[in-house]
Amino acid sequence: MPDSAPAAAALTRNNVRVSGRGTQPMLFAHGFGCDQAMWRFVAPAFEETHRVVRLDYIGSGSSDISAYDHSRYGTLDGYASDILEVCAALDLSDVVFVGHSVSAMIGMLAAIREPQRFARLVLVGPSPCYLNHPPAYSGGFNEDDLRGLLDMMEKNYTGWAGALAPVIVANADRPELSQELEASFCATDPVIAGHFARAMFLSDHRVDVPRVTTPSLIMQCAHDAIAPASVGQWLAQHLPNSTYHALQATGHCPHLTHPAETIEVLRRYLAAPPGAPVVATAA
Amino acid sequence: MTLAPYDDAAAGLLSCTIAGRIIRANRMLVRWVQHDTSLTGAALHDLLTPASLLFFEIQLRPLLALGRTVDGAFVTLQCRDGQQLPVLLNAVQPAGGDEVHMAMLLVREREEYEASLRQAQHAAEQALVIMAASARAQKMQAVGQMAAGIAHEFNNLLTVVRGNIDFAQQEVRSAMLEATSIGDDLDAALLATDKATDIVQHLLAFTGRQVVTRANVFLNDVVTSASHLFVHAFGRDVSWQTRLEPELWPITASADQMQHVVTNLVLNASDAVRQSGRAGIVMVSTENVGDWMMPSGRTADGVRLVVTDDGTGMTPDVSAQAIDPFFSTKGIGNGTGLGLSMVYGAVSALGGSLVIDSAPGAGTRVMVTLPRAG
Repeated sequence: MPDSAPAAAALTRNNVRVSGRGTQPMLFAHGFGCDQAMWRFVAPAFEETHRVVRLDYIGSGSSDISAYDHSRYGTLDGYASDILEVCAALDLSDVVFVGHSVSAMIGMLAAIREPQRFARLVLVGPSPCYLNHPPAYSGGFNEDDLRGLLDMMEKNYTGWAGALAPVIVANADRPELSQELEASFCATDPVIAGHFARAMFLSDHRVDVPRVTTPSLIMQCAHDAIAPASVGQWLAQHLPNSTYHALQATGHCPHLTHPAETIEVLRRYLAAPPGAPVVATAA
Repeated sequence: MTLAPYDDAAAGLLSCTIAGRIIRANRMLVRWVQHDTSLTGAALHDLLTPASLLFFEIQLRPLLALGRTVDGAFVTLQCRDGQQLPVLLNAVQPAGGDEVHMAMLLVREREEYEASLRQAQHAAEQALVIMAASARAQKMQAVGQMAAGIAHEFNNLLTVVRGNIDFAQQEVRSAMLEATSIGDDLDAALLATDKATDIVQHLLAFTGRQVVTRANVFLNDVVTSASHLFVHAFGRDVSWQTRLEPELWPITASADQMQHVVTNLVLNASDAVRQSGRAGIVMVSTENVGDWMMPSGRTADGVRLVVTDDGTGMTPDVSAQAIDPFFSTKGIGNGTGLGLSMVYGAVSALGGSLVIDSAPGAGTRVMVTLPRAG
């Protein structure tokens, strides 16, 4: 068993929530710019069959910002360490990891380091590298685009726009006001978010992809502006034991915009043997 | 259908499906982005710059899908002619619906104003940093001048005192051979004057005005020959390690002065270990540094001496004062507070730099870098 003090620390740091009646753990990790609230339309569907674990990355949602360490979270490896520490704290094994966007890559990094913990990886809108590296690889963005995004984030977090400053929730100690608590979703610490965005958008993890041995599902959306189909197909070619599935859902957040199809595909993938294609669904 | 208040509103208005297909947009918005007639059927993505599109998808889309209103987000529209229009965006996705409604305000001037504010803030921060550095340099210079003045006056007086004691001693000796206790008193007075002279030498070294003969010196030799001076002073709780670069470049310096430098740094380090109350280690290393940025701003080859300990360490406050003359952490009677200022003076006079890296409980690392000889 892991040492209890650091274990408890990981659970507080990442605001880990456990629910469900099943035994096999299903760990839901949110994408950049949001928090565990983004799984609210999908995760409950698995509480009957799985032990559902949700977390907030540090700087997001109700994570413990005091545990922030600038150098640790300078790369996605720091976030992968958090995933592994949460797994250790809950003594999880045979985990189905469901990661959206940047979390897909974080999950791959975690599975490379401790493959024995993971049964499957479900990668929703994954990308190992957002930058174009012509002619072999088209990540979808130029360095200028990504710098522009960082600039835009800075204006929105700390500038006069301030549209995304964390929402301060009054009466957090009064559970009867849980409706208001919902307003805190996607609250993000601006400084940490900027650093996270750099770690996410300026990194290139293509060399790590072939080192993943855990069976995985690549969920590719139609018209995904963040992770285009060309990236999903690149992954399908280079990620061992992967299953590629093109969703009918459009955009980058199928679990928010098309939860029914997302749940259906997830269920079918988990029911099929690893590596088998997901039978097309009637969406 | 056209509706004047809608079409001519002083704002860009747009509705689209959650998949980003534009259902309707007002004339004002069409005019802004310079599309010919209508935007109906076009993709929202085509109206946004790549950065804005990224931002919208990863940051605003989840908020909308979760039912939160986007209130005053900053995004940039992409016009037909390649221009970019900064706008403030309000958006909402009514519960249960599959449409997103948006309103935008042009904020070009505000954006420029904001950019100039950010630039001004950046410049002010830079200026503050430079001011702090120059204030520190001025302070050290003032302290140096004062020390030089005091040392000079003091030295003159000491010479007079010492000469007179000498005379008195000889006269006393020849006049009253049996009066040994007076001779002892005078001996003690002489010893005290010699000590005072030592302090004066240190002060002069701090000001960099001491006349020294310089030659090619190899720091490794200095460390090795100095080590016998301090190793026996360490006690059993302090162990000692060296990591010396075998091909170390020479420096131009006085070997004696360098021995003072090394001895001072190592003794400070061992004191820090002892103060921690635990057994610890003092490490001395040397290395060659190519492309070293000298304090003067030029780059040159340098030779570096690093003294590291795992002792008590210093708070930023203490570490900032560490090289000030007469500043001591060792308590009254245990140190002159001149050791590190002497080291700083000697190193500065040689065109070198001294960097202290320390934190409470994490030990201290002092890095001295001097220009390569030649």
